[in-house]
This record gives sequence, C-alpha cells and structure tokens, in this order.
Amino acid sequence: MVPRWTLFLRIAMLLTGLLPWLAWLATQGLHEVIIESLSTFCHQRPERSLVLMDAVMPVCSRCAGVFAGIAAGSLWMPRISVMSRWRGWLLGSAALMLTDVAIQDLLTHHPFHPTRICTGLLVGWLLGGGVTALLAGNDKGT
Amino acid sequence: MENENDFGFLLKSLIGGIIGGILSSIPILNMLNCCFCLLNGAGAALGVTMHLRADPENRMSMAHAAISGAVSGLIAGLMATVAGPLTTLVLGKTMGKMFREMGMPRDVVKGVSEVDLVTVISQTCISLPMYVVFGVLFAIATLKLMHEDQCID
Repeated sequence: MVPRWTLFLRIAMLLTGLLPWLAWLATQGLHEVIIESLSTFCHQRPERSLVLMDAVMPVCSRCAGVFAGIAAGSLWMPRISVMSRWRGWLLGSAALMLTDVAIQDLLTHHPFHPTRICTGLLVGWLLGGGVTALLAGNDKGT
Repeated sequence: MENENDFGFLLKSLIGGIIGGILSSIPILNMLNCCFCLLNGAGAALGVTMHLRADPENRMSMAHAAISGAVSGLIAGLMATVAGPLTTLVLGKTMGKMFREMGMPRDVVKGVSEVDLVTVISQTCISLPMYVVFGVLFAIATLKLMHEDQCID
C-alpha cells in the first residue's frame, strides 16, 4: 500500500506546479503576493515571460514549463520503460535545457518561448513524475 | 534505523539546508536558484549524500530521504526568505542612511531600509512550502540516482 505522505507530496507538487499558471485568476493584490513569492525561484524578466489573459506570468516561460512539468508529473508518471533509464533521460533533458539556455544567452538574445517551455516541461516532468513513479514503486528494472 | 542514526541524518540534513540557504542568500550566486531551484536542491542532495557517505553501512528509505529533503528545504527556505527581511529590520536604518549619503535614488534607499510586509508574508506562506517540496524531490532523486545501493525501498 502506498503511504499517505506520498499523496500529500503529490498534492503539494500539483499545487506548486499550478501556482504560476493560475496567477492570472488571482485578484490584483493576490497576484502581487504570488509574484513576490516566486521571486526567489525565477528572475521574472517580463520579456522572457508569457502573457496569459493580459497578465504577465509571475515566472519566465522556461520556469513556467518546469512548474507545469512538476504538476503533470504529480498526475502522470513516466512509463516503466522510461524509468528503467531514468538517470539518462533526466540528465539528457537537463543537458537539452542548458543547451537552450546557452544558445539563447550566448548566440541570439531573442527568447523563443516554445523551446523554453518544452525543455523546462521535460525536465520538470521527468523529475516530478520520476519521483512519483519511484514512490508508487513503479520503477522496476531501474 | 536506530535513534542514533536518526539524529545523524537530521543533523546532516540541517547542514545541507544551511549550506543551501547560505548559497541562496548570496547575491548573484542566488541566481542559480532560477535554474530549477538548484542551490536548494544541492543542499538537499548534500544532506542525503553526507549521511550515506559517512558510513557505507548506512541505509536510507525514500521516506527518510523525503524527511531529510524537507528539513534541508525548510532551512534553506528560511534562510533565503526570512533572513533578508530580518537583516533589513536590524540593519535597515543604518543601510538606508548610508545609501542616502551616497546619493542613491529614493526607491533604492527605501528598498534597503524598509521591510515590505507583502514580501514577508508571501515568502513565508508560499515560498517556504515550495522550498520544502523542491527539497523533497531533489533528496529522493539523489538517493535513487546516486546511492541506489544504499536505498532500502
């Protein structure tokens, strides 16, 4: 039987992951609180952030991807075939994200949101979903 | 796990958290936290690694790794979020006076001399639990990825 604390962790992961995505629903005051609370996690540069319903997201698009990945990972864990090579997948996705960081900061300077979101999403999902799978004992073969 | 070992693992989690917190409080270096809460994660990973490296006979379950990561994340979060406003409370007036004499803009002087209540409340209520969540994720991942032979689950 899966221990109860793992359920609490998954709920906490879901809430954490959804927070920046649901910030536009908040009132002006609460939106400011969310922006302040996420300031220790992200540089929050507006030119690197998405705009949702006329509100700039409280985190950049890469972090938005990471947070979405964690939320997704709390609900939908990687398959056993992925978990059997989890280390490789995780390191590979992190390398991909760092390559995107380097390309953007060293070569272009124009944030390209689709790659920022996708690379962040992959890392977030592999970490969040991977831990969820481990806790559910769904990692046979690792 | 024996009580003696329990204490050892919590102490190491605490040390990991303090290191993560100190790194998270250093300007410029704390930008690494923007990369997936890396410094907080490093503190949580350090706590687990220090415990398992201390004695090759040490074993850790994922539940213990989660506790270790939660403690490290909590300490790092407290240091990163509460230490700043506390410093401002203690040294704010002196720093504000110094900055004013240096001819800094009014906004900057206000920023270093006054504590913003919204920041304190939001960082304590929202950021701190998030530090704990990230600490738990990194600690479990560290146990499984780097010390699988010492994982008892």
